[in-house]
Amino acid sequence: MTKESKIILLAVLVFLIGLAIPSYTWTRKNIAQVDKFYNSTLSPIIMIPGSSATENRFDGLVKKLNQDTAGQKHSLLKVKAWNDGRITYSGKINTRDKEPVIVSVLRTIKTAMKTSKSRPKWSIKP
Amino acid sequence: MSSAYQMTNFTDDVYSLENLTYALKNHSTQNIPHPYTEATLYHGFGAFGGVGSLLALIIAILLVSKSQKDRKVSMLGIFPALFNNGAPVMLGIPVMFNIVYLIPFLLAPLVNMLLAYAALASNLLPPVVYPVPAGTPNPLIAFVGTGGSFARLGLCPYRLYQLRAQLAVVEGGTNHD
Repeated sequence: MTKESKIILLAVLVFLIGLAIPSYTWTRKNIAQVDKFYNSTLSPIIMIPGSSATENRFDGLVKKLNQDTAGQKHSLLKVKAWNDGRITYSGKINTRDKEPVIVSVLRTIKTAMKTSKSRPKWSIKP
Repeated sequence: MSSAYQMTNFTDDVYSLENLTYALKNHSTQNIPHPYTEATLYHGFGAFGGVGSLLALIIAILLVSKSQKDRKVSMLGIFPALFNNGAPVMLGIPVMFNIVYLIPFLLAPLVNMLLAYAALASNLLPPVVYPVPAGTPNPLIAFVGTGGSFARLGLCPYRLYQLRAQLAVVEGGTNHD
């Protein structure tokens, strides 16, 4: 074994040990993230209709979505936020459904222009 | 040439995905549904530095070969081989046209996988189930894929058994030159 080969082999060894440390932290972090994602109790899809549409805007879409999925159906919850701060719900999330669709809408909206002026008082001003 | 049997995308590998789902659900890599797959055997153990376990051949050449040319090519090729690309050595030695180097090129991955099979079957090693980024140096693939199992990293030098075999081959090969 020549001196050059020794240096190269040593460099490879140092390189691998140096890489093992960040790869360990990376894989632990990655597994924790994947685990959190997989084992989360709920991963809903939240849909917000355009300003002049009602909460029934996505009924057809969800129906179509459920036609193609065998087995578990995605449940639909509609949330209405009123001008005076009340929130009303229609529909429900089935107890064993991990992937429900939630449609959220601001009510009391007559036209698109009025929308921005008459949001519920707790909402963020644009 | 150097990547005829490349690592497939993790999301395209159904067995890997089923293994990962099982491991996440049960918080354990014991009794995964598909313990002997491409990812757990070949990429984790079989290809030690590119196709044909070329990293072992390179180390063997650096240690004992008397051929100035082969050593020079190996020095240049060892870092690409760490990242699973054996092309410099395949072309430079060249491995394909040297019957003495061709035999371990064909047999080493098979022996590696058989030993890995035995180790997995007897629960000596945890299987490779977690995602591994493309381009990970080969000696680290199994370490990352088992979620940083130190047992796995500690056992990494076991693969150097093949180095001994390669040493004998290279010594024999250079004596003919």
